Amino acid sequence: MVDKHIPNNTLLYLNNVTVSFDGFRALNELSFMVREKELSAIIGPNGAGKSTMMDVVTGKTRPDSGEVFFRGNVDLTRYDETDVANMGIGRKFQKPSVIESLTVWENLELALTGRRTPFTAMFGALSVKGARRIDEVMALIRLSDRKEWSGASLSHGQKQWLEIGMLLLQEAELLLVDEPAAGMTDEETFRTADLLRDLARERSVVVVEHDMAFIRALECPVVVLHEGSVLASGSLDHVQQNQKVIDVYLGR
Amino acid sequence: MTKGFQQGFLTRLLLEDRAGKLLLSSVMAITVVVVLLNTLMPEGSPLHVSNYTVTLLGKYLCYGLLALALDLVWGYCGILSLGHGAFFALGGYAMGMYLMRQIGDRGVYGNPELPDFMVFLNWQELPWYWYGFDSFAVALVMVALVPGLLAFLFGWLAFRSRVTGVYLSIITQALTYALMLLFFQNDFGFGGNNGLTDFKDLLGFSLQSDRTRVVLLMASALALVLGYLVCRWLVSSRYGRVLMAVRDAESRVRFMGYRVEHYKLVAFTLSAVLAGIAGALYVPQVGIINPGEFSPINSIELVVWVAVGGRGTLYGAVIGAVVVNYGKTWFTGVMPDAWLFALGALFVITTLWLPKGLVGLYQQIVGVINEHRDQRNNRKTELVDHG
Repeated sequence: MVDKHIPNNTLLYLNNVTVSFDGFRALNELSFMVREKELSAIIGPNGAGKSTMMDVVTGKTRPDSGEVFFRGNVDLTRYDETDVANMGIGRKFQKPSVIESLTVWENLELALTGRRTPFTAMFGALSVKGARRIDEVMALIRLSDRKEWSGASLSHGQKQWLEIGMLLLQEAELLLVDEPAAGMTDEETFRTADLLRDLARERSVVVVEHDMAFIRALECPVVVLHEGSVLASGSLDHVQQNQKVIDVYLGR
Repeated sequence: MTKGFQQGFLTRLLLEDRAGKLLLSSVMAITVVVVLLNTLMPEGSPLHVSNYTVTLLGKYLCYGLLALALDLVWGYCGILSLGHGAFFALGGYAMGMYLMRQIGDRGVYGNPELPDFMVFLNWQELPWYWYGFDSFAVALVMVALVPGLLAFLFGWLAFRSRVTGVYLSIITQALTYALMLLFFQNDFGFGGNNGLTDFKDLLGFSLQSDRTRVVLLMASALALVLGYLVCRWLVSSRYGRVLMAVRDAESRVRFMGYRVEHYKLVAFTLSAVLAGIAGALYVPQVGIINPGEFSPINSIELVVWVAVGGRGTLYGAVIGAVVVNYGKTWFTGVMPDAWLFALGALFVITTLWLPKGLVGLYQQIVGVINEHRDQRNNRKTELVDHG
């Protein structure tokens, strides 16, 4: 049952999504879409609904009303976090949440796609292909020399990168990335922007971010959220000139 | 499979677990020495180990296995169960039921069909849930099945509803308390207040005989060693790493696509089975099982053992169980009234100053000594360099 009004190359489609907590409307008839293999950014002041939007997409929060479709016909509101993750939606949290007691390598192994049941985790051996993939990603996120380091011993920026690496190994088709540049040095920030642009060639990436320099470096379309709905969208230059956007967000 | 493979597997399993290797070797060595000194040395000899000590050691080893079971769920998966004593007691009751059936017509009332307490209650026939307990094999299956099934049902409901933390601890405590009240009921059919006791023999061997006690001690040691190996294998597999990830960042693991509740359920059920086995080995050695074993205080003591030893290490749990229980034996001999205060103090001290327990304290001391040695060596090298 493919909805006719969803364009063909749409990966994620939100239509009139509303979520309220105790009368407060965190999302207010929010509608927007993400196309396949597209990099896009979401900006907005605190409380604009960015995190709630991600919670709805990843199955953590059920919307009060509205539609959320993945790949045109999968109704995401009917699944929980685990199902949604296995369908190919990966999420990076604002606060880096790598597993601190495990090593870099073990964190990546945990994220590696497939083999998710307790039984396969007990008896299944890591394939040669899987091990090679982990090594590749470890090189990509520049942590090869930190293979045996525990998650807790990494710097903030390294944790962010490890988390991005984990998303890559999950083989997600859609990455939701919450403030990837928070706590990074300028150099790390630009490297991260490069990496995300690279990743978007193979999959869709949605970045939620406050840092304008970082958004600019992403060179991608921007959606501005305000009070739970879309205030403006388009190129960064375009939205920066929008008077409403200046009033609620950029002008401050 | 060849012996070489098995040895290889064990070596790999314990390769990075030096403390575990040491612990298992000690358990086996102490057991062998105690058994030899008990059976070979004449009773008057100063080297003779008494039957009392044999049984006491057997008890400690059962507690060690129980602590191991708790450490698997608490130390590795963050599930603080305050009701694990219930699984221990259920395993104990299953064994106790077999032992009751073995009494036959040697009871006080001499009834070949019914245990004494049923005769006393004027029951005419054996309740259906006692059927099959004449068979040792059935009893052994029940020892694992009953605690395992209860843990599975309980865990399925609790983990699916995402009950965690303090709330989960409280309902586990409620579980064991409810079972205690239930087993106190005479009508429930497990001997009420008095529980099951006056056991005569196991597989035809008298429980009073020295040889049976020695065999029970060896069985307890074997169970502890095997239980340790199973737990070590589990926690060093990827399954174990998922458990630790659940402990540290549960929701993150969900977003990675793991069914957290299934992982918890497997660990919780397996842990309950281990606890049940510990209880089943415990009961023939102490000669009684009664509803007191379900009492919440037992489960809390168990948590203290694991905390004192050092959780999340496996060997720490076993060490904690033995050390605290040795302390308890000593205390109840010298100052029986003070034991609960000592236990409370121990818990407070551990929580405040020894978050990683005795194992952590040892590692800290070794660390400090190594640092001093390194500094001294460095100073020497400097002196040599300058000289």
